[in-house]
Amino acid sequence: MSFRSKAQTFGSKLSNMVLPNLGAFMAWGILTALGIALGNELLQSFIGPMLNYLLTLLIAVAGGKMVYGYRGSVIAAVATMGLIIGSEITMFIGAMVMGPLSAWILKKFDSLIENRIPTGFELLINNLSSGIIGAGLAIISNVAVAPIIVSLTKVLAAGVDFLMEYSLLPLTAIFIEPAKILFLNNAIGQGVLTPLGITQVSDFGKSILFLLESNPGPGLGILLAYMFFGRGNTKGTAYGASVIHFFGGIHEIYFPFVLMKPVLIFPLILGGMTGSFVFTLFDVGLVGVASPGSIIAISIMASMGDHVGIYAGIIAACIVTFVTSIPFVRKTDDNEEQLKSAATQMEQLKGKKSRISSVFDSEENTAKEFDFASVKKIAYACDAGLGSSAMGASILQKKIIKAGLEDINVFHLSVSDLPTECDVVVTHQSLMDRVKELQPNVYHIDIVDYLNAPQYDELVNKLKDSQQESKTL
Amino acid sequence: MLKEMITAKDIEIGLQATDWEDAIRKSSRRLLEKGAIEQEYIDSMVNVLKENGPYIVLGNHIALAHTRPEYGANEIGLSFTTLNPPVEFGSENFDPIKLIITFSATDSNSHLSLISELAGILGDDEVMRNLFESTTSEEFYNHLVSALDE
Repeated sequence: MSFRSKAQTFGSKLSNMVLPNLGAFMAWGILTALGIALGNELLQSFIGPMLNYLLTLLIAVAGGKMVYGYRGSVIAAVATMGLIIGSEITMFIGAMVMGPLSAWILKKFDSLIENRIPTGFELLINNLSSGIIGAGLAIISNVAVAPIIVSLTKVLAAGVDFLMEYSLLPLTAIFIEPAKILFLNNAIGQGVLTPLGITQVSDFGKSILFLLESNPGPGLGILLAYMFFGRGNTKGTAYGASVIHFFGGIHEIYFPFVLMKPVLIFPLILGGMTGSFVFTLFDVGLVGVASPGSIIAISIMASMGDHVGIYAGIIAACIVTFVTSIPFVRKTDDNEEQLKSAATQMEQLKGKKSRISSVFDSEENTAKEFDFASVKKIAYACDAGLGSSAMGASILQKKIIKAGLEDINVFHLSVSDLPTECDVVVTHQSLMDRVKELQPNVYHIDIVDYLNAPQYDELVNKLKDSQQESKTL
Repeated sequence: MLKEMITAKDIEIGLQATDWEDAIRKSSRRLLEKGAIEQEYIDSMVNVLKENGPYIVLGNHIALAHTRPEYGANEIGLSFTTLNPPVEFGSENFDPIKLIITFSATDSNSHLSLISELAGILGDDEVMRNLFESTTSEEFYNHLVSALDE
């Protein structure tokens, strides 16, 4: 696995702990903003407990669930409780560490004793093990882990403080803008900026950090440049893309335009720096995460009285990127293929199919960089989850074992039980739309022949080749 | 396990049906009489197919008629019905259907070894040709059993 895809996997894990909980983050932001603005004591009483307990535990729960289902999320919450009590600061980063870690420990323990539990004692032993390990981890978290996380958070916060004190925040654009194009934005946005930003909100009532990555200005600048100075297809697509980008907050939509002309990264950085500079100048901030980075979400989350400064920053960023990218965009010959291939390239960068690329190309593309070596679980889905899928799963499993890939497990289930923990979903062609809707982020295989689908051998070969490849590496 | 479950009585040869719905309804009579399924199960099989398209068509000319256990499945049940003339199920690749396997189960796991045995022979073209061409349920049964023994 390349460094980039590792970093992406890591980033998407971090963001997967935050994204499912964004509703709670926003609710907290609204309560905090209103509480502070109105000076209302009732509303203010939410701020601390909700931040330190609820949001932190929600992150832990999502992290634990990712690793080991609901059982994982329970122990994650218990262990994280130790962190919360063991420190004065908000333990987001700690929850991101202890949540998945404690679920992983329980998972390992379970698999160790799996075959040694006498029949009839499963429930008792499962509850006892989760309880005892959970209590132990909570104490360890409290005594040993919390201090480490506290000092780590302090270092990160000190770094941010340093940047803010010397007005160096605009420089972060040098990292943030290219990272966005490489889909590392979540690692930065949700992993680092969100926890630090929330800490700042509880101290100062708002934070500029939320604006750094979510500022739609630079991306809009690029799209406007294409709208006015691009030609043919790029011009038309840029128009629709800018609406989706600016109001929908889906920044991915402008990435292909940059990948098509990588030099545009410089106008983006300049725009990002300008935006952050203006934000710093007016000392503005958001009271919570603005995700997705849409002008609407930003307006809602803007701290009272900061709207003008925020809009000024976004507009300034947009104008700077727009003006500086004109010469590059002008030079671009219109080429429909170029945009499409950039969209494909984007999928490869992301390592999975992007919901955005369909805007550029309606043809179905399978993810090209899917990592077959990491496949452990294959779900075979049909409507009832017992007949056709069981049949197909049984045949596919036999083929996989025959190929010497014993550690890959094929199981069957009903489409309505998706999403489930798996790397690949196989299903009948006529059920694929439902499957994709329920679990879009896995590798999909559609078949029409349960018994002799050519896709079985194709998959088995891919699995075999990739495993051999990863062994020789 | 499949061998122990099936007798020649679970096999019907040369059923005439007007369309796929008729074929499914008629092929399910045996399981209904045995009490393996309720009428609701049959209705559900038909509805699921109407909703989802012919996903129960397994491969060459075979359909595995079934639905979820909660729609009136009382026990594991299996019956084989060959269709003469074959019936269109709306499957682009595998029409017409010559064999319907009507199937019921009470949960999604208890019948796995059964399904797995079945999977082993359904993929074998020669066995299937013998099954399609059987003229009596005894002949069908013998072909089935000898294929299972192999």
